[in-house]
Amino acid sequence: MNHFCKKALVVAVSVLLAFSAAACTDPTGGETERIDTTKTQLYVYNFYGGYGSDWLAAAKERYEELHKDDVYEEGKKGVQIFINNQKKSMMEVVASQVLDNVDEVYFSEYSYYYTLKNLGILGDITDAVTKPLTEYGETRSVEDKLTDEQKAYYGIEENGTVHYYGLPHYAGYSGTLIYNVDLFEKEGYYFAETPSDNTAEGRFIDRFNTEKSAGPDGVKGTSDDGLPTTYEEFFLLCDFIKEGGATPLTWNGQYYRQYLNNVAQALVADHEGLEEMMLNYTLNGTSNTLATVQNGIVTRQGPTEITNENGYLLTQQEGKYYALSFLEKLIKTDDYHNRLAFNNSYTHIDAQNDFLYAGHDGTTKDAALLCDGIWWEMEAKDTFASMEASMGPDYSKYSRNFGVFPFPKATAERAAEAAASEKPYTLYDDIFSICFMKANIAEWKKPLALDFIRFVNTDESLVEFTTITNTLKALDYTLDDAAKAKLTAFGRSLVEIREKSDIVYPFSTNPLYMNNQEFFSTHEAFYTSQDQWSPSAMHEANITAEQHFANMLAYSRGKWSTLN
Amino acid sequence: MKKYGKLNGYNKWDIAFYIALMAFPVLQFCIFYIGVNFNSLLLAFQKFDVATNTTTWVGFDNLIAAFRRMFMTSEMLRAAGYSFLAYGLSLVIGTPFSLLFSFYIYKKLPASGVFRAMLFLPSVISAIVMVTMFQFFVERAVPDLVFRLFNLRIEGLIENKATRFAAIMFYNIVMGFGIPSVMYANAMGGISPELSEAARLEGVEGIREFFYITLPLIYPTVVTFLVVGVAGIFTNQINLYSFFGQWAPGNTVTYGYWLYIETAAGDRAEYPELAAIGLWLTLVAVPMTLIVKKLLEKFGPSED
Repeated sequence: MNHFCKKALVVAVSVLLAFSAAACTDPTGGETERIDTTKTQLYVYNFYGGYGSDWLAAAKERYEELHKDDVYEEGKKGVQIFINNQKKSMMEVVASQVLDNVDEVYFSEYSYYYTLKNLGILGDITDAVTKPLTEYGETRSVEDKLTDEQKAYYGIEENGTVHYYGLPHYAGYSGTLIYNVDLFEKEGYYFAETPSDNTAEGRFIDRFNTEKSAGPDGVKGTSDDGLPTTYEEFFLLCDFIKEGGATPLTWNGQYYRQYLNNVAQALVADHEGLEEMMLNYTLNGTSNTLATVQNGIVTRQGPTEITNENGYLLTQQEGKYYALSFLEKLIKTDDYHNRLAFNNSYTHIDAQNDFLYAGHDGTTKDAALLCDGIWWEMEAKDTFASMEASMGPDYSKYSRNFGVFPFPKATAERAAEAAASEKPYTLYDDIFSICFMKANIAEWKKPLALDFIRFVNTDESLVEFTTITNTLKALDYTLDDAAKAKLTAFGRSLVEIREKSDIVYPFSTNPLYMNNQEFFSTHEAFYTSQDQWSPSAMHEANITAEQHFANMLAYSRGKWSTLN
Repeated sequence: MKKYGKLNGYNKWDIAFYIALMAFPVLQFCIFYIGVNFNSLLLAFQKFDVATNTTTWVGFDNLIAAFRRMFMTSEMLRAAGYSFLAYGLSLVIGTPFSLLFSFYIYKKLPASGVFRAMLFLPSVISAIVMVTMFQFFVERAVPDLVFRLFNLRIEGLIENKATRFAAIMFYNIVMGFGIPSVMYANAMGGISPELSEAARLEGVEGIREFFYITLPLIYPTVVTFLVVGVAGIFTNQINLYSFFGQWAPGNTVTYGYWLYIETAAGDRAEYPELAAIGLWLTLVAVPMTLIVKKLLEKFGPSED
């Protein structure tokens, strides 16, 4: 190799290394903040995933302004919230690192709360949680914003009193279907109140028959009008979309096992409802939906008492079979999904791009629905920005019209039951997000950390989080019309569907659950030893919903005796 | 004359320098090998209850449960099979190619310098970038090429379950090519030029030189790589996490990947059984490694 070639190679490799080194400095791509020695620092770790860090930057700005004249240590005035954005969730941050790291308050996801507690890394934040937020003009405490299930899980009884060591952070409904409302409006993908004729096409609105059906919530004049109420109607809609030349569903091929598994689990929660779904984690109560399936016919068994001894029977909740049959129909034909739906190089970002560009780039045909999580707009923000820059303001995320597609129900009876209910939907939040203060924070800094945790859980901060991310925090709060007006159409739709939903947080304090959390996770929800997850079992091994449903029972029964 | 290996031949500065040099690696070995593994050893005999935050000694319960899981479940037997298959393919395909390629570099044949530099690239570029590029090639470019050439629609090579493992092993073998090739080439570089010249005068050239002169002389280096490979059979992930995250299909899963995922996704209460599995694997891997080393040393080519 001559001298010039060697030099060129050295330069090329150096450039490559420089890029990788630069990537280590700040995952947000922004400038790294410097420590302000005139202020007291509160170090905050933020998991920099789909929800980004803009929400935290906004909270930081308000908090610093609010406390600019406060003195926390001698010779300094004011506070600096020093944000450490990292892409490691609590699954990847070793617990011992938390105690050694400079970060004092953590916002992260996928964490086993009780394990973190047992490892001694969580500081007691009871005062921050239980005292009413009066200094912020509120009458409620943070605890008042938790559901009963959350209180039971996060509140740990010690010496007769309840202590909190962590709080839920953001909501994560991972198996969400997002629909392109603009396309639905343009193409009339809505069921008519009264069919025009007996054909499949006649079931949908047209220019002569414009009155939409009431939709899954059973109430006319709401945003779900005209949307399918049953799985059967959903596939009629898919056929209609397909015949019109568009792609009914788009999902990523790289993680199709995960994304479709998430959809299946979300369908189960929506079918079973809060009480029945929680049995999967509490293992204590009566199940009314256990069923057997033969030749596609679902027969309910009588009410069955669920205990730690027979919890595996819950694999036979009828909603699980219906969700599997939904997946089977979706997967076993190429009619309902995009071409690269099982291609390992086709990422979730590719799917989001295609969904956004579909029908607008001259090559990708219209796409009606995307399978993703509620954070998808944040992940796709670069695509939105690039479309806006090249195609105009009509393509910004605030101009485009997307919505959460309310799940149809498995049967007409269940649809009628849901429509008659005050909360027709049940959402499933399995992101295990967490906010905590580390245990070995300096004593003098504790009040500051606790106050910051209170601050980010005030109604104002919760609403701000939603207006910035167009997603939700996993706490109870409402948005007024002014706040809703700041959201994207998708964000508004998400807020609206949550108002009409019960929420399943898949955890409990049952020792069997706590000692085997992975087994009870969504990852294992439809798992069998021979075919693994249901999406790949159906796609690659040609397993039917009925076979997989039976195999799930065999797997779970076998595994049950080996649980810790 | 200095007595090597004894301290009385050195002055105190030599000793201080030696201690300063060795202290850190020795400490690191004590903590991160002895300490960590000792902890794992203890864990294999414990049970941890998350609900009560208590640890109890359970004798051989974890080892029995781990044994059952490893040898009586289809998942684990399949993972063991793929672990051995991955090692076998690397051994049978990767090692000969590595050796021949090193010989090419050693003989300074055309563009050998460029190849030598290129071998370092997989080590310089992030694994996830390499996996992304490779995936794009086998999942998009190859099907597109086949369609253009034969008007035939095929699935991506990873998407297609029949070609998936082969595609992943191809990636692993190619990416694992660099370091052994460079090391073998370096070892070959240490062979006396007079020896090669004498062989050439005797008419031993090309592939004969490789088999009769070069390979025997670098054999200890080859043995080192093969033995290290055997010791790593149960920890080799074959880059599955980069390809599939936590969702690798069963017809690719190796023990190394399975252990990684179970540890990363599992809870503290699930660690004792994993520690017991680790112990069983050590009991299998250690004698196997020693036997392979002994056999390679006994039956390999001799420098004589």
